[in-house]
Amino acid sequence: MKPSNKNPKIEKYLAEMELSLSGIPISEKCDILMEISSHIEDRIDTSSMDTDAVLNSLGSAEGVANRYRLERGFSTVHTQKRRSWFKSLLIFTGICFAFTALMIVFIIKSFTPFIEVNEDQGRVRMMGGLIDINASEGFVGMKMSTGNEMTTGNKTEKLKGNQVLSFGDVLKIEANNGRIVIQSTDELEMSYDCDVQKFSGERLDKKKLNPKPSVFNLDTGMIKGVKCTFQIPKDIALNTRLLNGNVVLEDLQQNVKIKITNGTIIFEPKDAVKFSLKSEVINGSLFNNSGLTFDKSKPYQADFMVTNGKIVIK
Amino acid sequence: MNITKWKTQLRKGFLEFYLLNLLQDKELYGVSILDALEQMGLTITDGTLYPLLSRLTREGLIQGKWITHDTKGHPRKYFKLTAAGKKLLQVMKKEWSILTQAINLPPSKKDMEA
Repeated sequence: MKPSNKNPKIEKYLAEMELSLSGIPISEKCDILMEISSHIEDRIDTSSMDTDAVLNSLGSAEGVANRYRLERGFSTVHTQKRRSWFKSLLIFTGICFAFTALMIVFIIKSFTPFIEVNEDQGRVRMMGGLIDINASEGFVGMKMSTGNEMTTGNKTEKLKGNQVLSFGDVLKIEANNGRIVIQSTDELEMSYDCDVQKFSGERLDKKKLNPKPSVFNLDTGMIKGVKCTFQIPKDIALNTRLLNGNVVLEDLQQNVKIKITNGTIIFEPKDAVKFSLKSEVINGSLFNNSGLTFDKSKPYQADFMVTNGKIVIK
Repeated sequence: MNITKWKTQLRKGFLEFYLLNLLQDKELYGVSILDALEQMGLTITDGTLYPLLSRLTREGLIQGKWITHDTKGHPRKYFKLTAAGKKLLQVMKKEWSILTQAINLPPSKKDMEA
């Protein structure tokens, strides 16, 4: 009768010993295991000790195996610790894989399509809308896409109106991002037609259209994506400040002062000889194709300043 | 001096000598050796004896033999001294005799004067 073949505790003890005796020649390993097995059976047969007590009196399987290892010149092993360390490594690796997989899914979901070009709208969106270049509206923005506003435009708000202006009034336009087209008209009232893209979700406050006796102030504040066309009576002075975007001046017949931080001023004078040009570009370029110069004797003054960008005089 | 530690070291050093002495005229298996040690007050853990027997075997001082008859169905490994073991035992006994004589010698004249 062999208790070791029946008792799972003894089987487990011997199996742990065998594992800890790795490296020792198989014949010696068998002899050692047989010796320990014989001892256990002897103890159980000849004493009142039960299996647990016999195994406890031997000490841990790893400890006994390590004594055999040491007397043969082998280094000791720590299988429990090794298994624990290996288990921790496996768990850590699993967590890393899961985290990486989630990150990849998140990135793919957030930044796809990687690039989307809409030639009709003159718009390029990269990395799922993180970078949004809108040539027609003259802005470059960074945002997280929340929808398909590129194709549907359902977040655009229309803003239209007109205002009678008197000689001597100044039209002041301030905007954050956008494209502003300004044209002169022979009518006596100023009209504006704007599309406003509300990226930030804030409502357009129409009170910001702030008519004053002498200054008509269109302040779109932090609202982004302004695309406006202004019809301005001739001889009404224009003062525009734009943070990012383009200002296109067509057929003007008035004094004009434009200041853009990042963007482009495109000036297409109907009659170039009537304008005196004062221009400054800090970082960028100036293309003066009409030969305009600074000359105070001219009827109209054009004062342009761009910090980063360009001025194009056609 | 820590007497407990000293006693442990003494018994540890004495263990191999005692094992060889125990096996000089009879063949014993593991549990019977442990029982004999216990009777002499030299208790060691079960897991310490077998690696020690393994080393003495590898050094050629003792040899083991598996016997299956006269047991309750499982094999037992019986150990006995080899010729080299017997020779070493004689040397050890001689040394032991010298040590015990030194311990038991009467004090010298010089010591008495001091």
